[in-house]
Amino acid sequence: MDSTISTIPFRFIYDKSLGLVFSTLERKNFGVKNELVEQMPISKFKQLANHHKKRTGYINPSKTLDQNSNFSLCGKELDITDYYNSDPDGGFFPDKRDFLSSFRQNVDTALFEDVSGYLTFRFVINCKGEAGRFTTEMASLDFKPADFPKNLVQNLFDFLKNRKEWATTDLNEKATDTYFYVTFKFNNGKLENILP
Amino acid sequence: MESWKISCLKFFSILLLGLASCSNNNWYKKEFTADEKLTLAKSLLGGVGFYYQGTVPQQFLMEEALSFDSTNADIWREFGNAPVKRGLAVNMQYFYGKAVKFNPKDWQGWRGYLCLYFYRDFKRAINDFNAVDSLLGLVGNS
Repeated sequence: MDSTISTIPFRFIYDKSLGLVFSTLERKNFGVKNELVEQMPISKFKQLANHHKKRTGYINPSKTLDQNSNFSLCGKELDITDYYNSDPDGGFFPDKRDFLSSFRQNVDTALFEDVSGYLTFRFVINCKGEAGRFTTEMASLDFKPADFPKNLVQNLFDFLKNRKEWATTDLNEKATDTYFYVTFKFNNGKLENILP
Repeated sequence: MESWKISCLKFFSILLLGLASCSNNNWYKKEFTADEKLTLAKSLLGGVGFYYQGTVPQQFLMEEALSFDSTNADIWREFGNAPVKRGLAVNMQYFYGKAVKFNPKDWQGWRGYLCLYFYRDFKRAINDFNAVDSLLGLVGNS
């Protein structure tokens, strides 16, 4: 392939002992400035590079409530999007009213007698509208970490995974895998809301 | 003109220099004045818009910004954005709590809106709205 000469007006400044210490790019509307602020041994660099950090809300497939299910992604792990990335949003199908009606028919209110707090199930909806990789997040009504009765968690998990279809998130008119969550807000034994 | 410092390029520079000077034990580290740190934190925060919320590069950028100024409410608020959209209630409240602590005028009303919209917590929302009205001298006008 022929070489190409870049016309981007970068400036590089080198120091005799340190090497590259500054680079700047100045355009009409914006600019970028890079400055060397720290050197380190390659061993420390590798240690920092090996950070294992994940995107906020990442669901580890090996630590889910349904890890033995046949659920699979349509695309790559890194391409999982978020439910609010399309219009309309991905999530409840056909809508939240139907979801609530189904909840009332299928979930025994005795399971959440005296229960208060936010019980959230986070999961992935794949491009076929199937749900999997369920995890939970639990908070009290004052947003502190909390626990919920195991029986209630199991029943709500069963209820969610038995829903046959979820609305996909569509990007560029193509259904894609997406993260979604459902929060059940309980207050003194009553279901006060289903969110989002 | 705004300017941003891009972490990955910094790392790239570090890698080059690290390899070139592997026998050198006196590693260069720039020290910043207190004022420079505040400016750097703001400048770094200005770059978060280049990344999708909650991604690893965005988290690194915000962590670096916070390392220069841990009292910058806008950084804490940005940390709270991804959790609120993903149903992570405990984290969301922690980060927004910090933002409100360091700049209630800017963020207490916004936290009230989030309590209302995302959690249907009307009492907490009204408390935040009343508090910010008091701070802004708007009591009695709402």
